[in-house]
Amino acid sequence: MDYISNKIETLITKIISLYEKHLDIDKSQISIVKYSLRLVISTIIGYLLALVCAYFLGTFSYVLTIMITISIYRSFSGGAHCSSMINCAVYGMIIINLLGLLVSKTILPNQGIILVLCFLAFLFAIWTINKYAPADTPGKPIESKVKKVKLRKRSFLIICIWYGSTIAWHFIFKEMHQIIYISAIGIIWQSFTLTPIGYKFCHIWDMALNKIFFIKGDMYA
Amino acid sequence: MLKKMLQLSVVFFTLIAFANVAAATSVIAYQPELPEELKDIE
Repeated sequence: MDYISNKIETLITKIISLYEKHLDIDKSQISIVKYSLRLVISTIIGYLLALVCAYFLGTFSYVLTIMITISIYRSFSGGAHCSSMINCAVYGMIIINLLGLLVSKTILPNQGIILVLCFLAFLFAIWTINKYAPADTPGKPIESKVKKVKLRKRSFLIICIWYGSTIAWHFIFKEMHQIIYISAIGIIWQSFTLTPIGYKFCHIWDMALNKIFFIKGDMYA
Repeated sequence: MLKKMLQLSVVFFTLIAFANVAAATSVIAYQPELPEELKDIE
């Protein structure tokens, strides 16, 4: 797996040299583009691994819904990350596909149970946001109090929009769609990753993946 | 043409980087270490 990380870094270096060759670009701009390239590549790998695995498991739509839910909520609330690009992608692939399998293997609960589940997911999310959000990482610490308040407020807003939409759906269509049930699972999981137990859980997986792949994480982010 | 495409991609990548700075963390995958150039931005 170190081989893959090295290949990705080589690819980034090659792309950067292309910019240096053809554009009059300064050092600070180079480091911003480099950072952005790492983000884009890791996001593509993360989504691809999880979705390809989901395709073969027959849970593509469930996994895609969970990923979109987690992505929107996570960008404001933060959460635990693994120490390397590959670990993060593999960890995400395993966990999100397990959630997808859980949803696909359970018979869709009746309307009342989904409503209760959504309410519990809403309460759990509100509690975790209030207590832990925004959950930052050593690689990108959030030190500004203003930014912390802003991100916490936006996390609350996202959860309120989600819960408001589920209630509106229930009153308009008189039934709960499966997508609501799947998104509730995504909300519960993402809220869990904000908690200290969620961080410990991610760290244990990260250490296990490091041992499996014989790599040493460059940072615990 | 290549130069224009590269210039456009620099704008795109800069936007991605700034969006990530504004967010709490990367959406689904690995969160790389923030470069010094972006640390002062709130």
